[in-house]
Amino acid sequence: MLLLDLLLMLLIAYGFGFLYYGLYRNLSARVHGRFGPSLAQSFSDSIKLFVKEESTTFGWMFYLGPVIMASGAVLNVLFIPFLNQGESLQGLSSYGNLIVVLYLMVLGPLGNALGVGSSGNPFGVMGVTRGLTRLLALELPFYLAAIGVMIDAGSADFGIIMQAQSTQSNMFAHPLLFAAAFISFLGFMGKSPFDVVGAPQEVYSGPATEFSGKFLALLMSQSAMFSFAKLLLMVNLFWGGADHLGELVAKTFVLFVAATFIGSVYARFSTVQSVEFLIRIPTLLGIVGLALL
Amino acid sequence: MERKVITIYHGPQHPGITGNMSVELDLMGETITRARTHVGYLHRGFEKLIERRTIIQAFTIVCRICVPEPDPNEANFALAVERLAGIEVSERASYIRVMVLEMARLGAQLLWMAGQSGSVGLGTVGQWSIYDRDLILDLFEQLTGGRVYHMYIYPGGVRRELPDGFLERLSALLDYLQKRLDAYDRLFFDNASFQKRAIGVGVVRGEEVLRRGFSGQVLRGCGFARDLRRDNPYLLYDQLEFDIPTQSAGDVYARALVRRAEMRESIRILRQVIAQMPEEGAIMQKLPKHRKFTLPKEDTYVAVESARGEFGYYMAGDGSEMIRRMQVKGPSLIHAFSLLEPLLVGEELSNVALIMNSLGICPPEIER
Amino acid sequence: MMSYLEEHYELIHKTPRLFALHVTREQLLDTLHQITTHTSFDTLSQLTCTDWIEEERFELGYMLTNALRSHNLMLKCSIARDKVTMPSLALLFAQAEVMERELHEMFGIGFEGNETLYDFALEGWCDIPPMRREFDTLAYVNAHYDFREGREDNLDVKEEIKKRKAAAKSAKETPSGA
Repeated sequence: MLLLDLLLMLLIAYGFGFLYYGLYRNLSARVHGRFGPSLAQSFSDSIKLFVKEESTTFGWMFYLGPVIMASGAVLNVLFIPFLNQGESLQGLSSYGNLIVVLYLMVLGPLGNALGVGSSGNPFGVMGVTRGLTRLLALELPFYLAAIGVMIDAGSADFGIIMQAQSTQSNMFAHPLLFAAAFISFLGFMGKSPFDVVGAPQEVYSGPATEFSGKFLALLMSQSAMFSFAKLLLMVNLFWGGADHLGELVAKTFVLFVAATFIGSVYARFSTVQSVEFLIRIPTLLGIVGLALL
Repeated sequence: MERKVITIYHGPQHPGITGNMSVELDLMGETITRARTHVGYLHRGFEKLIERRTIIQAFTIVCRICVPEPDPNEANFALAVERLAGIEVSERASYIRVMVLEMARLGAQLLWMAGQSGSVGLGTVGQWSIYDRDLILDLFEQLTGGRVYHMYIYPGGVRRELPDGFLERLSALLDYLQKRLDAYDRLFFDNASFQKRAIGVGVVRGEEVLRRGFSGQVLRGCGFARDLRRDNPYLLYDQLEFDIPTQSAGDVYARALVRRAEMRESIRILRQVIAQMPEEGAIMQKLPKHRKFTLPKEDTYVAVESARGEFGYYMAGDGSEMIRRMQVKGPSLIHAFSLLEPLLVGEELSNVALIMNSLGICPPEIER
Repeated sequence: MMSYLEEHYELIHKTPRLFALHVTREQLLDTLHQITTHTSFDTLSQLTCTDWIEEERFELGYMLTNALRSHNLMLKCSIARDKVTMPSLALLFAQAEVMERELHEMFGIGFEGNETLYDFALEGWCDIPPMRREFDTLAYVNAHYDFREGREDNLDVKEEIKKRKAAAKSAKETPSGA
């Protein structure tokens, strides 16, 4: 039963991950004043790449990178409960808590660093370096916000955190913590102005530069699932989770649209600027938010 | 500790390069320690081809020297041939030329805006401005039959009469663009994230900039109001009212602000042209027959202000119907080598595309 | 500004804003030095070269412009086509470096004192410099490239034009409706 549940969660994450990616392409196309591709496009891209062969090889370390990343994303999806009540779609959340999830969020980028580093492509290495540098700055405000939420609920368990928000969601109870977490969430989602990792005008596709075929598909799928996991995490921590699947879709969609629209009207910061910004403003918001608890 | 220097080629197949060229960068981390410009990916031998062609044959080549803004080339070619052959152009034809040049300038500025915003990852502006540029190209298509390469300004005048209602449509387009420029101000020029990226980057300053042969926004961005339309007037620019916008900071943002103001000036010039253009008049002088159209054994130099700086043509005739020598000098030759190379040293890799776009470097005119 | 030039040199007025001046190879540096110090023509904006093969000379043109960008002065210097070196202006004008580099590649003119005369647009070129007039583009292309066969159904342009002209002529001779 648990296995079936886990499989369902992964399927939902995959499906919604790519659906949201397709929607992202459509929404940003509307902002640009054009029509985007059909929603099926992102799925068919992913499936097409899964049946293609790789055109490059740099040894097994190189292939390990996407695999570690994908396992990080999958575990993340499994450890975050989709709903705040009931038995189904809870995944492994009873075996782990917010701290485990925060830890797992770092696994992906580290795995990526391993793989890309062995390709020897300077742009890949630069992208990874940028990613890790930015990650340090992203984590600081996000952890502060997460700590605040944990202190407020008195537990690191997702169920208890979501239950504590049954009267008032954390977004309104602790707006500063939410602001801090939301800004760094934009960075985690790779939205402007923090999209330094795969900046095409600077480092081509960054870490993904050398990947092709199945491993590129794996990278794309994990990033789609991981984005859904991040949306889930934000909904659970600040919007009290969801009672049923419909509410979950509505809440993640609103969050996702907000991130997309913000991302399409800002220019990209340079790496140093984004680190400076993240360390200053959201971190300060987080600290003040913690102090106000 | 010894730090490792890696060398990368920024281009020719790189999303952050302005055309078919490359910059060889020595990087220490992401800081550039040495930059060298390489061209040669696009050399088409136009100057050589023109030496073996009659005037109308050469005319079809010159517009291809600069892709984003071909009309200054046509104007230069026409002005040089007219000066050598002693042809006078009617007032109406001159007005039409000014109109074409200003429309092309507006289009080139919109194209620049797409590149500049793209270089900082603000794709929305690019999508909008390319759409607006297309509206200008639509008008060009009505006027000349071509969207990008117009082959319209010919020695002796222009090649076609304006279509019916063209000036009204242009006027309507100008009203539309005027409103759009406010939208660009909000989304791009006043955008805090673009300002954060552009202010203090790629600074060109000092008295020396005049001596080093820079032109266009590079000069106007550091306080020198130099514009050939005013300083060395050609066509009817001395009869039109316009300002030369300047900034003093000399950085990428200053050059962007100069361009922003220039778009409004172009609209202002176009409105005057629409109001003042004579209704009647010949658009083309009577020219000698194809094989009899010879140039005397003399030479001359003409220059016009393109959207990116001084565009000069040296032309020498030898008494035959062929042009003996036509040498093109676009602003990019100086900007891409003697300005860009030292300017990039010490900058971050992420600023290369930003700086190149703001200098308006365009390889087709470096290697004709 | 003009008076100095009028006094010291034989100035050719091409247009009200464009002047020319003939100098010899030996006079060039000295003249440039005098002009840049005594007049406001202190910017090199273009370096041109014309191949007068029938007169056995290259004509170099040093296009100077003033700080106001309002007037241009061209220093013309003829040099023999075989003895092809010039003093470099790289120390006077930074932008001369790349202009000389281009002319070196395209005409084979040496510039003494310019350290950067390596490849510009061509790579590994070992033929005669391509912008010299004796360089035959067509012969070079025939020697180095294959021509692709056209489509089977393509038409000879000259033949087609002849046919069309004949058709138009016959249409004229027998006007429709007659």
